[in-house]
Amino acid sequence: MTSRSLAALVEHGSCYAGVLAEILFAVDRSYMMEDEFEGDNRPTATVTLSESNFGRYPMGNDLTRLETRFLGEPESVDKAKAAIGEALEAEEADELGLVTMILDDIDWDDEIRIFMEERASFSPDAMTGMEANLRFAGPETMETRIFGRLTAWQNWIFNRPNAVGEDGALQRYGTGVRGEYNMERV
Amino acid sequence: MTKVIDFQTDPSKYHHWKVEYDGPVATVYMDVDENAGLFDGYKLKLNSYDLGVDIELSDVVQRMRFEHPEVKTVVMKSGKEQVFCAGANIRMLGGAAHSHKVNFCKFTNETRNTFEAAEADSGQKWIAAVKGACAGGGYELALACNHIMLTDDSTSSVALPEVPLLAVLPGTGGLTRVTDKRKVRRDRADIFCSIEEGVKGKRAVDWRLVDEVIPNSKFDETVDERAREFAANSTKADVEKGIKLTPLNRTIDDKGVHYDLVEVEVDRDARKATITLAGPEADAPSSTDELFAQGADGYMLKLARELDDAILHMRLNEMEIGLWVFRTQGDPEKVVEHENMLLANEDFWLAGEILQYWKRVL
Repeated sequence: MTSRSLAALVEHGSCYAGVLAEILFAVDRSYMMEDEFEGDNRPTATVTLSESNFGRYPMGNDLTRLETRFLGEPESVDKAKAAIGEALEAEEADELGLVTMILDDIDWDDEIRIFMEERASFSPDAMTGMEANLRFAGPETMETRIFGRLTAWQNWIFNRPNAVGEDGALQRYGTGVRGEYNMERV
Repeated sequence: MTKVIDFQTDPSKYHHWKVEYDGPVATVYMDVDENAGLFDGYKLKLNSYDLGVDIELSDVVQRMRFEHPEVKTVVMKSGKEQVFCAGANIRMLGGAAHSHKVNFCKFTNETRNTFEAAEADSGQKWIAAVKGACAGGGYELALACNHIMLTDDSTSSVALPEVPLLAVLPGTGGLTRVTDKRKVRRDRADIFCSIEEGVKGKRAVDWRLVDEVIPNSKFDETVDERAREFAANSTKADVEKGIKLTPLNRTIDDKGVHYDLVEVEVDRDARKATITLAGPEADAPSSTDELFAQGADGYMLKLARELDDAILHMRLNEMEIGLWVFRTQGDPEKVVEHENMLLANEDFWLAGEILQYWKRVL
């Protein structure tokens, strides 16, 4: 768990299978190579699902990553399940909704470069907030409440002068003088 | 804070924790060395903790699972006379950058979740034996244990004094576990979280803040009795012996972090890190004996440990890297074989633990 933007590249020669395929469903976006790339003789990019992608590694919300991914289309989980054990090439993986985008030799470098440059240019605060909200769809559990709700409020308070300002309570702790608070309550 | 924070440690390097193993029961003593804080400028008085203390606890929890699978009950105690734990060190928090506070809280939260889940995941039940003041993060440590025992004397209490004292929250799961796990009535929780002195004795049990209150004279004996009882009723299979979590083969340099199976390449100009995971070279172990013999060198466990460490390292030590790009290279069929070997032998403790570990890493 991290407040960084996460992406996965499914290149030729890669081995996103079972537990490692789980990475594709944990990241914010995934890009997969389609068809042959000039001068690249590695085995064609594939994604292979295993039984483990359907229950062995639940998220904090107690759903699998695929269930969370397909919250609005549960039938897609069943379709993916029917493909267990198959080495799925780009078009098939795309069809099943397992990757964000498939790209051929002509588009790969440019698309990836543009994505990365754009990502690096955004405000890290806005990215953290956006990703934390988009990543954890679905039901609340004690774990999601701790990481999503309690932590977010704490981090907000950690930025407020009432706690961390010069006259805030954290700085004054141990001095015998109480913190001075801005009493505007929002 | 430019020094590299290392998440790898082992019992020979601990400053703050001591563990005693006695068959199915282990006792973990928190005995913080006040002069061994991770950074300068504060003393870890009264068993208060910083990230360094928590890195050791996390190591204790992890080794309990892999090196001591014979343990069914873990008792958390204080190694100090008057205090169980005073929580996170306030001077450390006061002096830390915002980003360090955030990362500190995240890591401590993950450690609490891990020993809390050890009962459901591996049949290792953590219980807290509270003697002396147990406040803030100290009570949060106890809350993450699945049974809390409090001694009944004039100085021992449980408390969440953050709001009145510090103007922050009991943010390591405190507020959430009081309502969601202990199911304390919300008006009582409101009182409990707004008083500095906390709650002791019978009221602590009545309000469900602890599970039992025991007279001081019988405390140690009752704790031991309870620990044995939980162990005897545990559904965890008997395991004779664990494996050794040997040190990772890791190099950190300007270009990134390098392990046997994980390669982290840092591009500071682009604010990007590329994390490449290698597939297995060797075939999957053919038997649980072979899996056990491979121990920490087995592919699935080694990859999980390296990835876990890489993520922690990047999170704390490379904060300006905003984008992590994952890559893999290897034979997908072999990955499936290695994973299937574990899935087919889930009942074998080590296979189960490795799969549980992957759940935590992901």
